[in-house]
Amino acid sequence: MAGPPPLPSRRHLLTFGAAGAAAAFLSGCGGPGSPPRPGALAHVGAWAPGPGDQSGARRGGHIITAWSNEAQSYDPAIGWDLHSWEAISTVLHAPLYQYAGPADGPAPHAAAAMPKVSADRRTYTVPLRRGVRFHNGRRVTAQDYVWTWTRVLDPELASWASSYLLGIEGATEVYEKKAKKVRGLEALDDHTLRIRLSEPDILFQALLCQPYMAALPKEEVERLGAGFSRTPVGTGPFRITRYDSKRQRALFRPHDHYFWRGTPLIDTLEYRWGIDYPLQALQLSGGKVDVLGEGLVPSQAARFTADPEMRERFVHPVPVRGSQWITTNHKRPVLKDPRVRQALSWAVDREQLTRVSFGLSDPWGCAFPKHLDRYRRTARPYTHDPDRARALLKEAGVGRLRLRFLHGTQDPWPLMAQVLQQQFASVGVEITLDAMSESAFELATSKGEGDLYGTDMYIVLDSALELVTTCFTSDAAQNYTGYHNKRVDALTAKARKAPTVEASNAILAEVEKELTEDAAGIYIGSLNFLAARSPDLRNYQMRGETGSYYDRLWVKR
Amino acid sequence: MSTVPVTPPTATAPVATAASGPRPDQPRPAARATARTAGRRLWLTGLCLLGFLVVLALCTPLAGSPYTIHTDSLTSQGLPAGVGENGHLLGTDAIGRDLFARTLFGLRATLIIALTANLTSVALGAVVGLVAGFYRGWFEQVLMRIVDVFLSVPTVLSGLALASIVGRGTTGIIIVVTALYWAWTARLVHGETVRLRGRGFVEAALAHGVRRHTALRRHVLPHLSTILLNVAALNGAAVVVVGAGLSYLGAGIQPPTPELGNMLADGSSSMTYAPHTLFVPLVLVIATVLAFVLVAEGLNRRNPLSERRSWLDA
Amino acid sequence: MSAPQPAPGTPLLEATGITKRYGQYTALDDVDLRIETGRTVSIVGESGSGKSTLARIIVGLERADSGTVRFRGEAIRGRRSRHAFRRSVGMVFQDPYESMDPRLTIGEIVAEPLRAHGMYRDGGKERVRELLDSVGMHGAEPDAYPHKFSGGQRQRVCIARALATDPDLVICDEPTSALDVSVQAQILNLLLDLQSRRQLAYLFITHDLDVVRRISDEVDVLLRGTVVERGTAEQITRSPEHTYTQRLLGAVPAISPRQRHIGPPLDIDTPAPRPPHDAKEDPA
Repeated sequence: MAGPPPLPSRRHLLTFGAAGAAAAFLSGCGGPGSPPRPGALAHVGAWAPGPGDQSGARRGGHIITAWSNEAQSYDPAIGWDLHSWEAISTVLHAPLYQYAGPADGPAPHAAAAMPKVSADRRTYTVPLRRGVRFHNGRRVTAQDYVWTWTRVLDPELASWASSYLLGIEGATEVYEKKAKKVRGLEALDDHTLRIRLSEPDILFQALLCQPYMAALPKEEVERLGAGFSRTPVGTGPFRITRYDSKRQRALFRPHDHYFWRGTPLIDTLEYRWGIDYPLQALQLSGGKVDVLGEGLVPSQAARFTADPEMRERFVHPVPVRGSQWITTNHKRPVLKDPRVRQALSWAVDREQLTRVSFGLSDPWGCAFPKHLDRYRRTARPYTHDPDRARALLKEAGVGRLRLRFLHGTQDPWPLMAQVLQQQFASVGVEITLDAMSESAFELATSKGEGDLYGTDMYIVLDSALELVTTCFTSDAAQNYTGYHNKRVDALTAKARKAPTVEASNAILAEVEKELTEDAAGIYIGSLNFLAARSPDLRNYQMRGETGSYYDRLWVKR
Repeated sequence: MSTVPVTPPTATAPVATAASGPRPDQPRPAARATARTAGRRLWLTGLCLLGFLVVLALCTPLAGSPYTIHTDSLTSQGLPAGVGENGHLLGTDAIGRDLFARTLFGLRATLIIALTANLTSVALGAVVGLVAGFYRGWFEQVLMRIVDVFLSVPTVLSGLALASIVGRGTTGIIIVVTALYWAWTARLVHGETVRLRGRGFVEAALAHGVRRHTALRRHVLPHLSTILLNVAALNGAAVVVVGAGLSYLGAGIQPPTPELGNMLADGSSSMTYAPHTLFVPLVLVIATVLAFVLVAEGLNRRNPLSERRSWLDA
Repeated sequence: MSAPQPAPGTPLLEATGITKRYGQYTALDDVDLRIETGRTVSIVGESGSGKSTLARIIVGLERADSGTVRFRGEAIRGRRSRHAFRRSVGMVFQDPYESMDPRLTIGEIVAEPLRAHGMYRDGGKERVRELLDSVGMHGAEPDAYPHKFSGGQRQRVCIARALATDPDLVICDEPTSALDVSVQAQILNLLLDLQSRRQLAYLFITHDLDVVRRISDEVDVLLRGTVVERGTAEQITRSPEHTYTQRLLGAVPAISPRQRHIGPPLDIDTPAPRPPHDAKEDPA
């Protein structure tokens, strides 16, 4: 697979939170919640892969989730914002594999078993689970997958995910409208799917976990037309029964033929949107909603933190795999000198800096997130050492350094920027803050303007490869600042073709070491997710890669 | 934005000439005297308040650094110290800087901007108004059309646009505020000058060979001192609000330099968990505006536009 | 500064063909005026007849649409000649309250013409005292502000100012009409006294025929911007020819001079519109 997929600003998908306006503080006490109704003890044979402890599960209940914005689309080939992502990942659609446990890799979901991989690591044979049905009752066959994936590649659909599939043999021809069928995609029979890649790709396993790879019914897509983006038909644990744009809510009910028998447990799931963050916090503490879809943004996190009892009751920290760093503009001559970038890295007091993220990030001085599955780190993280920073600056012959720091309105950057300004000032680097609207910020950074700006990124593809190929390789989609490191490029390509995850990760550890030593960015933190949910919910689980898991959730009586 | 209220100064004059009523120099009625006393009390209060704020702003060297981040003042969850906690008189702001020091420095910045911008806008407006009102002709037409243009543009919007051109920082914001407010003074001074220009004593001076610019300096300008003071006081209030407003919107003084406006912006985002970060700068902004408004209102009540005395010999 | 010696027989001031319009309204229509040295010419007319406008045009506070003003045979044209002319002319205004800057002392007010013509430096202070004495303000403190004085006293100060540059002509624009009756006579006497002492010519603007009888040599009767009758004071008051003059003479003096208006309501023609208030123009 040549190069990374050109993503439509992944920052949207991968960053949680936005600026929260001020709201009056309503003293927190859990509201009445759903009307008490004794739920029957649930007997579930097998649970879908993912985190959770299902002992004592009960049935029944109505869950309301609050969102700030309407979803772009519930069509898995189209939507990628947080709201869409959760709906397509864990609610409406069931991909072939799903990440297991709280932090593990892929496990069979709509597939019957893990794929058989050929010796040249280019052919994947996926046995499909029998008895998987669409919401309309029809059985899913291997042909549905062939059709769905070909659809994603259709340039007319303009799916953001199409680039992920270009590694399949013959996909490029379909994407360029030179062929109708993808050569490397074949339904051996109704329950066996064979995929042939142009070259080995370690990320392909994780790709099969993505929602845009879940089967869609051709007849429904054609019947519903544009309506498919609002009321799609899929294979997930819930089917959508109502979508009300005017009242800004959508209603989901359990899928009767869901292949994980006995789940989901709740009766109904409701999404409400158009609720800004302060109001979300109020509604949660007032018992009007049960889950905040986007979790807590820093300003609201601080509000909950200010009252330890509230935090105890409503906040549920979830470890996620995400990095937070300051992008340095390598087009600026002075920042081309690695010593200057290293100096800036040593100048940052990460403890102090991440204080103002109110628990949404932990201090961390390496390129990749602190905790990665099956990964042995060799890079040594940066710490706070202003003397070393000053020495490096002197060595680089930099006297007075003035840099422009861009930031939007999104928390916690406005606060972090001011802290950084102070920290850099103590080593003689002056930073002017350039505050702008979020959209202006997106535009300015994508044009490569500014000297420094903050970046957050969550890993969705179960490998730090995703982070590197999105931001740090020479041809990365979000490498707006012209970072070019031949060693990183070569190692990344090698890691991608590695035979096993472990082998790939060993190479990636070298990449991380190189990125860290070269100070490709100023790494400041490893991200956390602060989920906020009603204390009445039991077995509330979420993963950064997907979203909340409503199939295993129940309401306490 | 409010126009500066001006009681027509001619209110007493025509009465005096048309009938044998009391001359303006004769003892005024009791009601008028009461208004004067009340007005005096008002503007003295305002002046005292302003003086107090200026003294506060001069105390900055005693307040410590407004930039140092006291990490130890933040709780492990990142909550700032409250009022009086951890050795900080007014607590710390959202990132742990001493709020007392920041407030004093912020007040100083705000006052410097307000006083300078007030001076420049009133001076520019006065010069344009005087020249246009006194020399008349096409010159007046051109100048007053320019004034109309400036009066018709929306303050905040054009302020933001202008700030992006002239740049941020103290000088930039003074230029922006001056550009936004000179026209109000110009219009007022113009009207007043036109009125004074037609007064008998100006004509008498001209008829006796006094040259025009001499007449302007000797007979028109001194009569404008009261109105200019009134304008400056009211303008001061508006300038504080707009100056702080521009900083609040990010177009004025840039962090980390504290200014009441950008402190308000910081405070408004942290008020849900640290209300004092908003209220401390808010109280000072209100106090500053109030001081100017009291002075303006007092001056206006005390002496709507007296031309017999200067504003000092009460 | 000595003016060029005029040819004998040239009048001190001669205005010819003065016309002034305010939009549609004609304030003065082809008015001629002659004033000989040491003589008093009165212009009579009811308010709105254009008599004040004429005075203002002569002194240069307003500009005529056409016509010329000659002083000692020289046309007044341009700033320089107007400035020189103003040195030879004084002016007394109707309202002594309005025509003095309340922020200046009376000494400064009297000295103003002296300063304007560069005559203050040499003995200006003494000159001011002398002037104040000459108008009967003996012992008045030059450092006093005008609001300390009565209307009559103020008008004396105004006269002193008019005389400051030792002019040949003084234009009096209803100098007594704002004063109490008792004071009026004093002021008129002062003016007559000064005339005899200083060989002054007066251009007297008034609507009061009593005043005209007392001080005028010649009278011009102005009706709606035109001179309808001209003659010696005696001719005009004894045997007026124009109906308008006759009516003016028929005026019954009211008890208060302030409320006095001339004659019965005049209905010679449809009432003329009043000039617009803001019609005063650049004097230069």
